[in-house]
Amino acid sequence: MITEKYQTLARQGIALTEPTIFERSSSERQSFALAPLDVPEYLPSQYRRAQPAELPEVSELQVVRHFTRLSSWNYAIDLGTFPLGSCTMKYNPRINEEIAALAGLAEIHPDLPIPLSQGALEVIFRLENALCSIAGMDACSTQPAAGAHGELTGLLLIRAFHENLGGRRRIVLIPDTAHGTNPASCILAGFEAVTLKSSSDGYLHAETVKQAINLHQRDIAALMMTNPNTLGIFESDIAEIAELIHGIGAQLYMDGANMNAIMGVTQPGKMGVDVMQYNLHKTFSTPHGGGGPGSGPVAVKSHLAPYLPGPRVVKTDTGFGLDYPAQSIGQIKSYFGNFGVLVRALCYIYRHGETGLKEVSRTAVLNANYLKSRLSEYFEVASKTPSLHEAVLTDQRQIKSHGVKTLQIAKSLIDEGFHPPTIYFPLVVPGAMLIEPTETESLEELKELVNALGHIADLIAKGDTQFEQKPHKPVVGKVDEVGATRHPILSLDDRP
Amino acid sequence: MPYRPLTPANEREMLQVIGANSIEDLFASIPPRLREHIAMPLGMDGPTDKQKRGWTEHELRGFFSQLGAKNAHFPEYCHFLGGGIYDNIIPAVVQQLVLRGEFLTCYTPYQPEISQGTLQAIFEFQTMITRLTGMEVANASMYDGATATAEAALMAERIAGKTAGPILLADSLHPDYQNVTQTFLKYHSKPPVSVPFTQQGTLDLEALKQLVIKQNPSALIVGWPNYFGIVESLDEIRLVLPKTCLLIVSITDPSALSLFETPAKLGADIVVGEAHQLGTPMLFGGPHCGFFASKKEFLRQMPGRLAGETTDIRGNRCYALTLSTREQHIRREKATSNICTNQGLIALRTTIYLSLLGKNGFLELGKTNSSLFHYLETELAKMGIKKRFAQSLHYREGVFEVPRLALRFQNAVDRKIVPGIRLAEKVPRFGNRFADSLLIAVHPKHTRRDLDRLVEVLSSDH
Repeated sequence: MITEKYQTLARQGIALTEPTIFERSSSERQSFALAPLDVPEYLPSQYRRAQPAELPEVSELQVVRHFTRLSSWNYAIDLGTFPLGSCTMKYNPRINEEIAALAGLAEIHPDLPIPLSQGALEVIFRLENALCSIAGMDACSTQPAAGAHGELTGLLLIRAFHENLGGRRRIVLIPDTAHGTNPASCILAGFEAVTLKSSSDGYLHAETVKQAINLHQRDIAALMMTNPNTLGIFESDIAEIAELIHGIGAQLYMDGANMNAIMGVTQPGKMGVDVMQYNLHKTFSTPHGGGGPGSGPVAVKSHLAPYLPGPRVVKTDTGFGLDYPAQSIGQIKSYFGNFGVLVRALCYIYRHGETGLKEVSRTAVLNANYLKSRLSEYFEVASKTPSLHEAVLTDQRQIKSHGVKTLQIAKSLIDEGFHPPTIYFPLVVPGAMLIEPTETESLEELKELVNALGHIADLIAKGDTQFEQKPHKPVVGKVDEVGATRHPILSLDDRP
Repeated sequence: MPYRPLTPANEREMLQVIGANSIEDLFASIPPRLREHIAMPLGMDGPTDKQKRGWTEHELRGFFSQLGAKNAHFPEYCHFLGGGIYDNIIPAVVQQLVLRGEFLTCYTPYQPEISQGTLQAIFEFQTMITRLTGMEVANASMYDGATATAEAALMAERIAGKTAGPILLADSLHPDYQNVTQTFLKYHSKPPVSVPFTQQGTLDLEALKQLVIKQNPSALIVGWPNYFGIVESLDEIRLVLPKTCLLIVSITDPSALSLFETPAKLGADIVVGEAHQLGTPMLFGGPHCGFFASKKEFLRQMPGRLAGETTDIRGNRCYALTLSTREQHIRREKATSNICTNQGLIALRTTIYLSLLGKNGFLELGKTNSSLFHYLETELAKMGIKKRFAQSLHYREGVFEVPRLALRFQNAVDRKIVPGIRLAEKVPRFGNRFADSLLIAVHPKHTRRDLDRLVEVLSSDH
């Protein structure tokens, strides 16, 4: 029970209304203009557009104000704690932005001749090496543009590996705690996803894998597991599971979404993992940017290296060059991946050094365990099993006492000035609230979050019924998301 | 560790609350043998102790500036590289606005009440893309043009149904886009079939007709303009195709939509492409901004995120992600795609850029590209350097036959000019047919003097 006087962090600030940019438009106004042509004007002879595209006609200041006002309606890491489990919303260091914007790294064309792009190739080469080293893997490709894209790449590598051995295996085993992208990626790679039930203590037990192997035998191409899993629990059977999987010639894929928990402590390579993907926008602090750009490099053991997407950056006598491996699965994205994101990640890694990265994981785990201990006073904890960088709470206590659900708790937290946790995920926990504070939150901020959640729990315990309508404080009230689906208005021209 | 928030006293207090003796104890669930001998050398230069503790901001600036100096870039170098990635002049406002923390450090707008800025910006982006392409619906963006192409192929297959034949891929489509599409379809679908190009670099309509009869294909994917910079006659392609069943997917340069008729009017069903040149630097190939638009009847088969307009509990207009039952976090293995993101910040750059240009500025962009290219090809012709596929309609890029290309290319580089993409190197399967072919593109940074210098260096052996 919160004894000190609780004060919400959320305040009504200055929130200015703003229509769409098109509604600010006035005919023949223009803000940015190219220099007048110094060659004769020439327009194509055929297929000329009859009606120019109706873009907004606004002044530069109108543009600045419009988007600044819009920005003020967003919650962001820069505004406050963002305990969004499995998303690793840590501080995005500004030096990364400065470095990524250097003209020599930003204003470069990917078809530059190799001697004229040595610096860029070196960035990729260095990052791939560092990512291999952190995970204890042998080779890496930075081509995938996001985590799910990396999953697809990894699964295609597994597919190519089996085909090269002359086998066609149908099944990928996936625990029920997995991200939704895992089964979706399987389908795209032409596999069938078979769900494995995790036990009530949150683990995937070797015994469960054994049973699946007995059932499907050499039809199994791979097991795809997230470690630590989406409950924040380290899969302590993983080495044994790896042996079982390898015993039938299958491969172990590890979703590396939660690498923030284990850097410098343990390594997928040591666990028997054959292939994994990183999420640079999680572990290595590249900004989420309201939903991308991400980056999802894959790292593999040497037996899968021949299949990696090409072109590969290689070291040569004269510097760096490109190689197109004969057995490669082919290109998965044009050029070299999200290079600008790679620059930021390398900058982050070198800023921390080996000791610093280890400290990142240690602090992330300390912060998460502190939150779990404190919050267990108010909420049911999903699993008694020790967890690392994130923790799952549930709404079971609140539902039983007063019928208040996770969604309402989450929306209430908005009114206290925080972003809600990830809710109703993992799917195996009813009413889950997945909380991941990351290492960059201070103790003061963690306490503020505890106070806010504690305050909400207290209100529920007192029988407060004001939960249906929340949140009240943001620039808009509770949004009718069902209405948006029923009559989709997806552009201004769809408005009735 | 930089960005460290905890003091030693904090750590003691927290461990006490947890009931642990040390941070190491918190990792006890990891079997000890998996924690032994963990080293992760990061490949940094300089003394070991500095590598361990990491570099300062100042050291990072020095290191990365040196790497950047090894890459050819403006203003020291002038380049004529294109092939789907185009240099452009970016107004200062774009970079300043996207660096606002509320855009940079926010999350996917799953909580609409605290993400209205991002959501409204996506809604404006979708509106701009539909107006540019003439299509009815557009999504919140894809990784890039190549993956948008692959996703369009998958979508076309879903629409055409299981009984339909393979995807047809124009051989004149960007080679990377072809490769990526093939990788995506490899284990999922029938292998795509290639449609050759004619002596004029355009889609071979005769071959297309035959393929349609023999293979019952589900869709045709064609570059517009294609990799040779040629604006294909989409309307004529439409005419040789059966009215129903076969979808046309136009892989579109969005800047061409300033001058040319919309692919929608010319008969395309799905229009996708790469929009990075509208506000985002080349970035050595990414992060860029794939866009994805189609007819409304195909909406439920679309991949990716969509923002829609709705109301809040007070009756005010607002926005939310919508139709997410297509997506992987709801549908898992039954989703329309495994995609779990868009290119939020890059799509925002596009939206800001197009707002700054407006209707007239966007027209000027197209006019500038078209005029610079026409001047360049005229001047090159005067010096005897012929444009290949000369009878075809070009916009801002074309293939030129340069005598003794290797020598002249190197001469240009020595003068800090990168004159274009050598097709024989970029697309080895083209082989000797393209031995002296150079793909040359113009962009708004070029001045007449830049073009004159290029003509001079390409028309002589010295």
